[in-house]
Amino acid sequence: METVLQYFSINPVFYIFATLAVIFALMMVTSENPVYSAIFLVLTFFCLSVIYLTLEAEFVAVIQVLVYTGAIMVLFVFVIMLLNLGRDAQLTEYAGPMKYLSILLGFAILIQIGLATKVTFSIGAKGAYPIERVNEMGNTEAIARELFSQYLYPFEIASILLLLGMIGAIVISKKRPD
Amino acid sequence: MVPLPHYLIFTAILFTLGVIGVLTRRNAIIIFMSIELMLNSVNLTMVTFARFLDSMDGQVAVFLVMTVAAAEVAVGLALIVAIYRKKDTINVDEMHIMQG
Repeated sequence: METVLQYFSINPVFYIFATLAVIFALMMVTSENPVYSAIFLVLTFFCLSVIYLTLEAEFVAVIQVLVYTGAIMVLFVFVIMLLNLGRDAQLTEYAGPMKYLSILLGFAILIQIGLATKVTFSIGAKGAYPIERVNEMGNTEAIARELFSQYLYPFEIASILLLLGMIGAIVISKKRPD
Repeated sequence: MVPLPHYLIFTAILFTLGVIGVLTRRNAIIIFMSIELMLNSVNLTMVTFARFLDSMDGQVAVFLVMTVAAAEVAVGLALIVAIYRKKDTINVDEMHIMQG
């Protein structure tokens, strides 16, 4: 198991999959058909999952594939099929100056984030989980220890939130006579 | 080990692409997918800082963000289905009932 992780920590893996993720994300944003957008987003999520492996966060990488590409994106594709959006895939999009202004605004945010990362910020105190200890006990166990001790209340609130989301989805999308 | 700024630049680019998607597209489902992309870039930032600070808190936060994202997608897509039933379109420019 450790040899696999060492393989994923080699530098080129990060750069290759980061480039791929950016390309796929760009294609997701620009493709006209929402089905193509969904598929490019799935590919982006797979690349992100590999990048989680380069950070030796195996649990998050697996959850990324299971939850995002397995559940959330299937829900997206299901709704696209349900609404039969193929016929009006070419929605009237923004054209002209507003579109370019929006893109400019996006790049302004990128520059702002870039400047924020250039500011020297003091690195906080090191936590209790150096990578050797995490590898020894296992990534999943380390997360579980934190989740079920220090973060127990957020965990319980998350379960209530999921229940509320389920009820809300059923109530909102129910066909009502009008 | 890849240096920290490279991860941050990568997540900043992904976040920007999500912002551009939200600002330029009119299809509600693609706007939703762009929001998912932004959530993912923030998740990656949290895992990066957790790794570089020898901490587990960031990964726990990612777990919670994913739960919130799942609930949000369920409710949001239900809203899109409801609006499509009513107005027969998901173009966000035509959703202006609340504007009065």
